[in-house]
Amino acid sequence: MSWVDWVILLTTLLIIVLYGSWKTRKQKNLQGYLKGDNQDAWMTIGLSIMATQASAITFLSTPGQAYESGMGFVQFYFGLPIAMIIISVFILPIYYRLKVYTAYQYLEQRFDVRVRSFTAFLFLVSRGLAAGITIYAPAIILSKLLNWNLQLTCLLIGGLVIVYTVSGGSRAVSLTQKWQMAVIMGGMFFAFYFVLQSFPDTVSFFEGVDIAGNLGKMDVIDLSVDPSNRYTLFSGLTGGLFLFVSYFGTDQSQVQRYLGGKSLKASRIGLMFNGLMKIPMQFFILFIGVMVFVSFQFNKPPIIFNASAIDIETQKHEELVELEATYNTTFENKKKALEQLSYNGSSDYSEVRALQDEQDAIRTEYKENMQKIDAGYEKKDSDYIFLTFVLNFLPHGLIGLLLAVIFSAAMSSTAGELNALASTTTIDYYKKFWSKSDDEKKDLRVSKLLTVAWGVMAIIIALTAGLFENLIQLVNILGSLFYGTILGVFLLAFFFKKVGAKSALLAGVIGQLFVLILHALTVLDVFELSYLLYNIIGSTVVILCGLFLQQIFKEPVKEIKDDLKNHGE
Amino acid sequence: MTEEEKDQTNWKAWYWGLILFLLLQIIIYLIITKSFE
Repeated sequence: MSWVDWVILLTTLLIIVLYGSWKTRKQKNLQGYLKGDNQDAWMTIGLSIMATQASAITFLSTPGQAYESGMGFVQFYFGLPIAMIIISVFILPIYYRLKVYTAYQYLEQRFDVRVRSFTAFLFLVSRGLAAGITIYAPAIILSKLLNWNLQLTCLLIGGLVIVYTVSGGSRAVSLTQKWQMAVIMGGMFFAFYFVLQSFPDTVSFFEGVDIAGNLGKMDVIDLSVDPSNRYTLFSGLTGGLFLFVSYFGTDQSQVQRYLGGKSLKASRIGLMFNGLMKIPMQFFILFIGVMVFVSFQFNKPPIIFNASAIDIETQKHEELVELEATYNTTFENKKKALEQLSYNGSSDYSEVRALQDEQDAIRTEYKENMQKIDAGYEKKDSDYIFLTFVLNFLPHGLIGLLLAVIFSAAMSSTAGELNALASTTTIDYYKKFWSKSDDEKKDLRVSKLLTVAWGVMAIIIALTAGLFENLIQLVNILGSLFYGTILGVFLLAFFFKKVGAKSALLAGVIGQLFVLILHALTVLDVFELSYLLYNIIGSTVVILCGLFLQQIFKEPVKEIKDDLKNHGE
Repeated sequence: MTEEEKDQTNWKAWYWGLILFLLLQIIIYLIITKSFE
């Protein structure tokens, strides 16, 4: 990294942090701190929703995933637009009518305080862990590729987020997210341009797409209904739908974003904006990864992308040197075959495909050998692919901008999470069980302290986390373990008016245990199951149990009071 | 009158528009997939 990159990176980050803190410095009460005094326009809400969901992992891991497995991951998002409609029609009007601060307040009105505390607890556990991973994931990759100190990188990301989230609360989070999204999308467009520039002069954009398609990277849709396939049209429209209704409708980090809207209409349009933009955005990010793959057909890629994570002596091992030599020869042969195809105008890719398979096999063997020599070596290197490309092919200045993209994404999602964790702890626990007074200044102080506490907790988790198989999937799996249960409880509340509190609580506990057992059996290879289906299974178990238990308990059902004037009530 | 009742936006048009846009994207992605089979 040159000094230009450092200047661009640090200036971008500092401007956003200072802007967010300065613009929102006059927060005087909880309403302003947790809901931003309901000032957000639809554009701010829409961008804020997208920025909260898109973490640094999205921009580091997704292109790498496309490089390895093609475009199929986009199917994961097919349920999202339908989820936006369901939330806009059924869930959002209820939150607005009741003027809630957190989604879980509604559950007390509908059921009782136990159900509210139970779901808020599930949220705090899953989101609290995820906030740590949101910081750790980019920090580990940046530290390994750029030789940065991992602890300092975690502290820098976490520390900057704490500054503006604590000072300006929800409004600071939304305002900074708007600008962070601008940096992110601007940076990704520049990256796309330079990926295309890295193609040889003889290869056009369309020829690049043709090469990617013929090497199996443009298989976007998988029509199979095999439940063990993670990303299919079926799993996206079913499991994805449940996951996104749960995430956007009941996860406080998202609910808080649209509850800050200046009107119900602004919040609804913000949701529609997300429904329109999300799939094209994910397609674009994946497509960048596929174009990086095409670029690496002509520019020799390293045999492994996380080589900087291991010492040089290991790489000098005789077997590894031999494998690397074979890898280089295969690459050159494949490159020649591709150039020949282009020259002849032929479309017979069989030789190129065979050489690509050979290259992939050598890469796998190299990684296996590496692990035999160094047991701590992590075979999954796809998270390093995009950043390796950025560092080797982008001009100075833009490298700084792309690093600002990664930091902005990490900070925007972490800020949304910390803000939501602090709100839930303040409203659903502190105001509910601890402080019944209406001392606004004290409540605001406590809320700020809780934001700092969750920020410190996230940094501690980040500092102690190990390296996982695939970071983006880990975060999604973590969400799916709890979302099914939370969604099930909310669906009982919204649509099954005859189910009472005791039945809902027991059904929630049974549903959560069921999903955890299911996941344990999947991990132990007893059977295969896509984690996306946990959401459907979890919520179905909760609903069925709730209906069954209601038949046994025959509880009376509460009437819902509008307008929760006291924050804790 | 509640905020919901005052709102005159044609939300049905928004929702149908969003569904049609989703279908259009799926069709395009399906065509891309099939064109390389």
